[in-house]
Amino acid sequence: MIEKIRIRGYRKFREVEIRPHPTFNIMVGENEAGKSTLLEALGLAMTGRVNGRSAGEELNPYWFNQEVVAEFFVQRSEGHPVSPPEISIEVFLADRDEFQRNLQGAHNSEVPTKECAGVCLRVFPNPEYGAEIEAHLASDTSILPVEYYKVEWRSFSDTVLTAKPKELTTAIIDSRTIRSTSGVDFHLRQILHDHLAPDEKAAVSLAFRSVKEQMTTTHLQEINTKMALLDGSLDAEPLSLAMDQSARGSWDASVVPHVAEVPFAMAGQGQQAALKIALAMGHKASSARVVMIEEPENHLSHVSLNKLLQRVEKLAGDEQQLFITTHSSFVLNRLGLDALVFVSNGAVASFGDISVETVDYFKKLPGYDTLRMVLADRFVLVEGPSDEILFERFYRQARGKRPIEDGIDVISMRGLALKRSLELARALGKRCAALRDNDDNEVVDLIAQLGDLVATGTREVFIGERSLGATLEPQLLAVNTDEDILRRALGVTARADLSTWMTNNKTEGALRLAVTGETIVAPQYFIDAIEFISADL
Amino acid sequence: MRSNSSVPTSNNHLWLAVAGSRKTQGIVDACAAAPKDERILVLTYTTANQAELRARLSTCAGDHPNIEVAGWFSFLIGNFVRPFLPFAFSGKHVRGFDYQSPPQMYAGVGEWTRYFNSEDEVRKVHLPQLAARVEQVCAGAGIRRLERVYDRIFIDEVQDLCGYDLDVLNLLMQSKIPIEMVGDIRQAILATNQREAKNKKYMYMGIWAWFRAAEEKERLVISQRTQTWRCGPEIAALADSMFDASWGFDSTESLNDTVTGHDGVFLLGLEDVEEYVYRYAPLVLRHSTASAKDFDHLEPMNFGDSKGLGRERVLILPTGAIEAFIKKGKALTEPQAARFYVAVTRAQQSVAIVMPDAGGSSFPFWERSSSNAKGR
Repeated sequence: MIEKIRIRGYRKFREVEIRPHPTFNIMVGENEAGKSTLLEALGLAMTGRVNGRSAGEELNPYWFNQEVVAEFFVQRSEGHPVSPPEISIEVFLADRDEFQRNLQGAHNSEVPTKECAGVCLRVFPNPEYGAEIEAHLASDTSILPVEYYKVEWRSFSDTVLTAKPKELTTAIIDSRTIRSTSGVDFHLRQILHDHLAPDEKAAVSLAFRSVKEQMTTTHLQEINTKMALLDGSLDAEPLSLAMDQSARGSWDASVVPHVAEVPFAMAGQGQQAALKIALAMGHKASSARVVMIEEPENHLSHVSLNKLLQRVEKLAGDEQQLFITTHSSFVLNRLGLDALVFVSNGAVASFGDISVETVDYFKKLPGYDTLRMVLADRFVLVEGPSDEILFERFYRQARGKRPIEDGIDVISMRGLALKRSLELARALGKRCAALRDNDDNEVVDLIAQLGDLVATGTREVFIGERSLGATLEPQLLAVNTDEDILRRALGVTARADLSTWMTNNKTEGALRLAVTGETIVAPQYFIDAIEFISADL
Repeated sequence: MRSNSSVPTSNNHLWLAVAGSRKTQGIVDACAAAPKDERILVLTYTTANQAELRARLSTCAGDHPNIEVAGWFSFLIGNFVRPFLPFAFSGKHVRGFDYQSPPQMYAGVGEWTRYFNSEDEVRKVHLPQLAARVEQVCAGAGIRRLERVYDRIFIDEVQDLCGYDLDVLNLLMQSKIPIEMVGDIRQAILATNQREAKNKKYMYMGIWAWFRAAEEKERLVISQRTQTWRCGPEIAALADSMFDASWGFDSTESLNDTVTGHDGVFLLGLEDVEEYVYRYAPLVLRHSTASAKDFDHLEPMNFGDSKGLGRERVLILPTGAIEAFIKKGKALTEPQAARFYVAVTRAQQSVAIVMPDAGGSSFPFWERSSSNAKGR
């Protein structure tokens, strides 16, 4: 449905263009990177609302990209008559029949001009208040006078939108906060409405009306006879009680979902999130819809999260387009690494070129911490915990600080295929070092097997020489020729065979070496790896 | 006029219908008979006719949610100009409609000011030209969109279209959407843009030649509807007699066999006008406010304004040309004939034409005493 999103001047996004995946989009990034802002922007353009309130009501100076605003005030102070900053969020939709009528047109920022279905939300200085805006800007201020700004929501056919177009079905599910304590919040009501077919809605509405009417005519009758005697109103008009038949008293305010006979708002937060997702994604597969889910992992145990993701996977189809923010590798792996959208400080990147096999591989191993690879500046792949511990030690030894302080994440693969991890690294385009044992193979052969997954300068694999031993332990022994130092560091008596002890106590040995005050020499492939990964830092 | 080819090759149809043949009702009936999910657009020029169509559709096809009535100009703005304007003028918007601007002789066809006033309101006089132009530069995006939005388009009173409207109509006829047009060339007294020079020869009754040429090119099929439920036979015959055979109009068949005792076409002496008006309360018609000023006290209606009305009796205050036509059979010019046709065909039972003498006419004079005399 959504083919492209273009955001200009909104919060973290100075100018960004996103081409979302047709079914799954999983937004990951550091805190404050702009994941939620991205969904917020999308929600604004699709519904004209934010947090359930109209964009105009919610507008505040912090909506504007602070960089753009700062530049504007600098330009103005230097006497350049540049116009005040604006915000524009454009959503380009797929070429579908149902969008033609109201949303098709050439009013978009495409160059050259192109007709397309879509919507645009713009925030710009209201020309009617030009004088006021200039007066405000002339005073000593660095805040935009948003009270003189106008929020305009239009389709690409240049018609002003006042309510969400019917053809844009959008559900926003935010499990981070519970917005409404009074029952059903705006989003849930929206989701419920979209879930029910028109005739179902009509039937409920009709029944609700007649129940209210009955209440008024029968049960309130007696009270009203009494009320009529009350001489309270100004012009002696009779006072009576009746059920509210106005729009405010419509069925959806009183008819609320219950979970196991507990009102929705009273249900657990995890349960609420799960239900909203099910409602938003279920039923009416015929209509296209956009579903946005904020951090589904919140309030859910691992088991519940698993169930929820299963449901999301099952309900997802050609007619649904999902946007999910997450901090969980589990969510990312389960829904597919190819859906990854990386958000960092106002920039957005997605990665399409991960092979189907690799995507499936990580789906089967969802517990694996792929997000660490995504979020790290550079990373080192090692085989197991002992390699991880020792890499940390030798890194500190070489550079005087821990790798993480240099933005380098050391990740233990724990049996994971190196090929898969390197493929992910390739897709991410990050500098990555991989260390592995030669397992009694020739180094050149092992590297040759990896083909173009190895690229000099960006992704390199470091392996100890075959002649120095098949695994890390003999490699250590080979370079630390003074056995006494090793025995002291490891606390191994002279009677025990050092090589056997180390092989039998890999992790314990690594831990002891990590804390020892003795000088331990790093195997050459560790030194090479450290040099490569920390280059230019 | 049926197409010569045995199988209609076009999905477009023009119904050429005589006055009183329930043209508008035909559209309403077709809409009511259409499947409820068929997306139908009904277009017409005048606001009065739009209101009429809406009212009738709401009675006869009110349960069809996908039928829409629009005026020709709002159709052009909403479907050709507004959505695709950036193709012709980048970053521009339609901010309103200017129906008063005179033609912009000094602004070239590519200039913004030709089509828009200083308030960015689109000028009515050049709107169809702009629509055709935008459609050209956006390489047909408007028609492509329409094809996906509507299943059928009706155009009522199609003879009102002129100038660049015909270019747009041509595009519509070449689209996949079936276009069903209804009109009466004989009543062509209105035009959407009277001051437009483009296609001038096809304005008013001239549009008949345009339609016939389009039929030659197999872009539409023309059918004539010749039955009138309104006008009595003598009235229908008078109406037919205004147009010679070269027009190719089939003669009108009257289905009105009501007898009231005063039926047909009569001449009316000047001295009898007051009595006649008193006795029959006819609809009094004159060519324009500038003509027949002696009868201002009867508050006559202009011929043109009576279009669409139907009355039992009509009294006509003729122009010199009409008098010459009645007396000597002197042919009327196209605009004269069209207006007189409109005036005459308002009547169901009787038409009285005020004349000092009969000349060569065979129509009888109405007489106070023998007021029951049948005409002719």
